[in-house]
Amino acid sequence: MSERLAIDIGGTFTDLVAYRTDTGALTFTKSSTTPRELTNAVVACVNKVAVTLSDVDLFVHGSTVGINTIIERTGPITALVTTKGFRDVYEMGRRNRPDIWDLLFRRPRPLVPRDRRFEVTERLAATGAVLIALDEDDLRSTLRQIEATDTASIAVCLLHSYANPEHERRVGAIIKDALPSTYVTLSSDIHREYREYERTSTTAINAYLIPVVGAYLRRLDSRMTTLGFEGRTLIMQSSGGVMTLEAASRQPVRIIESGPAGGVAGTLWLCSMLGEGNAIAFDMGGTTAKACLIENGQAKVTTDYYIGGRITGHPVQVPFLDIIEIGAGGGSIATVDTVGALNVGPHSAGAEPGPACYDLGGAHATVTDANLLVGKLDPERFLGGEMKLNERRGLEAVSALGERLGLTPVDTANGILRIANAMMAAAISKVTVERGFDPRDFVMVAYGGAGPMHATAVARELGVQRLIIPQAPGQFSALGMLTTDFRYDFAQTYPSATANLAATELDDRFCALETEARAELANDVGSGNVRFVRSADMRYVGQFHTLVVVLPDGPYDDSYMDRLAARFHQAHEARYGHAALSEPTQIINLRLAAIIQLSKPALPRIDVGTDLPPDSARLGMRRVTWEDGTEVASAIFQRELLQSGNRIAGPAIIQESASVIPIGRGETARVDEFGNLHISLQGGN
Amino acid sequence: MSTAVETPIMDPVTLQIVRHSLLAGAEEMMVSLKRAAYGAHIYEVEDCVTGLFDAQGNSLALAPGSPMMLVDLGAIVRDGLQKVGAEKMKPGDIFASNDPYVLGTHSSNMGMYSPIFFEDRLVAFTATRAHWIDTGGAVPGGKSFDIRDIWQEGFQFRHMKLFDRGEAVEDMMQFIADNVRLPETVLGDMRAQVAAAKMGGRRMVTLLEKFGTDVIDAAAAAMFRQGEELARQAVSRMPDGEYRAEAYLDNDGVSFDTHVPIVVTVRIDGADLEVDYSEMSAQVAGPINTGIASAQGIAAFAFKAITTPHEPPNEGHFRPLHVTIPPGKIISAQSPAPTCWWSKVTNTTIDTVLSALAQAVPLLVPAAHFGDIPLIMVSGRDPRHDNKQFIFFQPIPGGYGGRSYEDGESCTNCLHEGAMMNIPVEVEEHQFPVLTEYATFRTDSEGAGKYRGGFGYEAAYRIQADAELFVGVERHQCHPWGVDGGKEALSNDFLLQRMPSEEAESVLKAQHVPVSASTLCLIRTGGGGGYGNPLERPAELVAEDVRLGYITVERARTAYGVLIHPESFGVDLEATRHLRRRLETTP
Repeated sequence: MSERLAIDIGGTFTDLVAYRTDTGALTFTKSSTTPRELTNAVVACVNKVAVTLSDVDLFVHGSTVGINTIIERTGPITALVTTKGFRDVYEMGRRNRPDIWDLLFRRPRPLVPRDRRFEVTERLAATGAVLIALDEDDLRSTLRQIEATDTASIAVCLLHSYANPEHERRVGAIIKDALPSTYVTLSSDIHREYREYERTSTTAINAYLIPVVGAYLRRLDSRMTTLGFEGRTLIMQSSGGVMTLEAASRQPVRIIESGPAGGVAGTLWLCSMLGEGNAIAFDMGGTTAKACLIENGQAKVTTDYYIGGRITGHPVQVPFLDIIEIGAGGGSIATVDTVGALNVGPHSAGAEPGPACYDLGGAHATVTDANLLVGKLDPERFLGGEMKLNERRGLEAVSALGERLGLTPVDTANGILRIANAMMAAAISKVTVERGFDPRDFVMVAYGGAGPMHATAVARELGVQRLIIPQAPGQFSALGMLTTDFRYDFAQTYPSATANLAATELDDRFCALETEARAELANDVGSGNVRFVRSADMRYVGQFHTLVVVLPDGPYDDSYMDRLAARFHQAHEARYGHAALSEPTQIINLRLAAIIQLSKPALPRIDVGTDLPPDSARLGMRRVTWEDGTEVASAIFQRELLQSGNRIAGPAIIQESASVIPIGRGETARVDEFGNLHISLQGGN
Repeated sequence: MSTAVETPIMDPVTLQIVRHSLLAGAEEMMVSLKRAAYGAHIYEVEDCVTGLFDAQGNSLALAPGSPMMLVDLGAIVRDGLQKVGAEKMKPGDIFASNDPYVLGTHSSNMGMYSPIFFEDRLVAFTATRAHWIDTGGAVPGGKSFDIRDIWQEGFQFRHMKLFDRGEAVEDMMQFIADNVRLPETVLGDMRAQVAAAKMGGRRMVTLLEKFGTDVIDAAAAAMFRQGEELARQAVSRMPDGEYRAEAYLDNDGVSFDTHVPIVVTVRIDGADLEVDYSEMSAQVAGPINTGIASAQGIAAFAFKAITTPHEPPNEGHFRPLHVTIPPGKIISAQSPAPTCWWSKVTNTTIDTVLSALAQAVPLLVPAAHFGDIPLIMVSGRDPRHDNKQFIFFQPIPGGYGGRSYEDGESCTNCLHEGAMMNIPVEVEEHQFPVLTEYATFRTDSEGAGKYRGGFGYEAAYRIQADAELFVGVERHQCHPWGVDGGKEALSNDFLLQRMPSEEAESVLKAQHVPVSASTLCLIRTGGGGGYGNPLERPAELVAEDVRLGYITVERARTAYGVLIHPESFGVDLEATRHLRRRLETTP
């Protein structure tokens, strides 16, 4: 017997999914996130479920530890060592004003301030040739200055180190020797491409995170071991793949958006199971809401990601799923500003003290308090009845805001919800409408603790016609973490004119990469059924940017190079609308993805019923105030007791252990064979 | 969003989708142009702009880029409609025009536009403008202060057809290849403009297929109406009146002893705003002139920045703006006035328009910025690449003025350039024979103020080849000015040090300047002007600037009246109080 476990730490809740590989049984639970010691919630979740940890052979984990550290700037003192003459590169950035009409613009503020950016005498040429040898004495005296401060971590980013990492490696070795307890990140270990600002930022973020994330992962590992776990731990990457715990401790920059990536991975898996090609993944938790677009069964991955937004954020050049995030969730605090405008977020009450109705000391009105006040939440059945909500406290908090606005408590609560919904719709617009996609052409998959609660209203706002709420939506990101594959990416810079390259030579190069990949995988992951995907970055001679062309497996015959050039022309035509057939083409980088597939969970089927939900699932009626302000007696259902084929017409509320799904008037919900809810909004108001 | 005006015939969701789809289309054009380009000034710097226009040449959507190339982009289409005529345009045609007198900027910026047809009707246009690194004039790159007329700048295209119904016009391709110094780069960049045109056309047709022309037309009308209304609301909030400001350019690069007057009057009357350039300098002998579209563009940029800075622009946002500009001024120059160094006039004119506006809305306008694209055009033959001809330049950043509530920003490209980026040192050294020795904030360069200006930039580099420089540095004498008691900042400078033993000499406007690997090129740019009295700046903020090495202990004392210990960075409060009291009475 073996089990797999996934735990996703979100801003408000920590979610667990356990999957038994022999029976296919899934177990879900959640616990409040414990910000002061994130691993406490992990232990709490494990203790809640009847899983013997010694039976678990695989544990996949995602955490907010990285993103929180950057956004809240709570990382330790970090230093930067760079080439003499260039310490200000990091602060100057690309010197542009993306918001071109704004005279009151602010530039991004670097994580490493100027007095912690140090220069060392050395210089490489663009070819990697040494122009000025590394002055080791100079470096050692700099390190003595660094030692005098409380520096926990050092980023090393030297000019042209992508072409020749030797100086960086020597600097790394000298730092390890002089300051053995200080962490070191070399840019050449993270990213081997030119553009010094973006590489410095990526390296600085990794250095800033290592002490925090590394310590966190070690604590997690040791606590899991104490609980009896002996299997392998994998960490979710922002790209949607997984990596080992050891690798994540060295390169935490790759796991910054691990939780959201789990939800997108889950959406991809669900969509492929349901035959949906185009979807909007909509995830709303306690602190933030996120949206990601899936087109033709693929989620877009970008290496041009900015943490905190493009205009004032930090560039990171490692793969990220293209996710838009906004600061509005169930715990978001509603405020009234000086000119009397009602705002929601970006501050969140989080899990401690949480919304006012949690009665844990929180005094601010939150989105959750508003949902309780309008009747959408059942105070007795929150978290499956584990937590009783205090209606009086929620009412007090919302009333206090209402008094300042001259609104009744119910109108205030509805105002909070309408503003929150408009913010979600705006976030989804960023990945659909603003990229020229019409949300009406997409199915929306809504999850996260608060996602289902707002999904119908947000869908209505956007004109989305179809909505899917997966089973256990509150733990969907955790479930998604069990649906990913091992993916390691390898690259080699290999500039060569397509016309002058022999097909056998090209195949040899890829075979050499595959050998290298097998060795590294064996070392890190163990041997398995590895699937390789070959691709090449190509361009016209004289061009700068490249296009990725996917290659078949080898070997290649002599005519292959012509076919490869033709494929590049086609790709160029498809991307840019023209091809220059007479222009020579070249290869810049060879890329190899090594993928070891992990078996995916199979969702258990639920009991088959009729159109009519069984009486056992009916919880009677409750008065609910809807967004239009009308108070209507609405039927209440228990989701876990619904059967395949059941249909529910709104107004109705479907409750489940971790969430609540309002179905508006004119809208209908259908339960499929796996228990997913399909909501049709046609004719809804 | 909430202030948007109701549009009866348009459902708001469709309107938002059309609006954002058009913007996404313009932005995808920009991505295509940038990614398909051959020149580093395009693929790194983004010295190019893109937009979508209606059948009359009104802008529907513009991708963020250089404001000075962008806001008057529609003039290219409107001029084409007049000179070529819609009836002569066919699907797949692409026209090129670089006429600076009508289209503004200079003749190196090649405008290309293409009609979009739907159901056999011309319904819209794509337009792009990109800096062609060479157009075959007197000097490599086409910038020299000894250029005296337009013909020396390079070839002139006035609505030449480069593509005829989708096919390249081979005679034109041959003409370009034979007449520019870097044919691979220029033709590659031209093809990138074609790629952008095709991308924009495809996006527009998809949108038309989805919604039909009636809905798109109605959406465009609603967008224009909303944009206009938002801008009018903003102007209505400003006090009526006449506001005049003046500044000057150091010289025109020919008569070095004569300042060039830049004088602007702004009149606000209800919901309308007029920018009147009647008192500007007449066109000059030196090549710092530009055409009338740039006069419109400068006013439009300043107008947008103080009315609706966060709205993606369309034609409507500019409707309350009226520009008065007699012909024959330095920014409404007429043939054959030379224009190749046009960028010397734009920034100072923007700063001056903003100075006039600041009298009406002081809280929205910072003090002056460093105010130039201090441009060093380098050309020669690259010994690393078979002695092939190279030409390169890149934006140089500087300081921005202090604001009414916070300090100005440092080392940012000028207002003219907007979203344009630098060429990273690592890319530059790959592509060109240049080696940068350092690039840093320029110490003590800021205009002192309660809210100080940002810091300028300082860098040193050597060209690793025998090369020529074409230097155009403005705002050396006319320092970035302060506001409300704030002080002026250091100004722009460029120096050459021939030998380590020699003194560096300042070279501001010059051409054919020979350099070799032994010549150290030093660029130093101005900071931003200060906002408010520097003696009111909190001493601990002055100390923080000293601790971080942005300003020296000496400057803290002389400019801010703050005495700081050079090692502990502690403030001597008592002595500071005395010094500040003394400086207040005897400035």
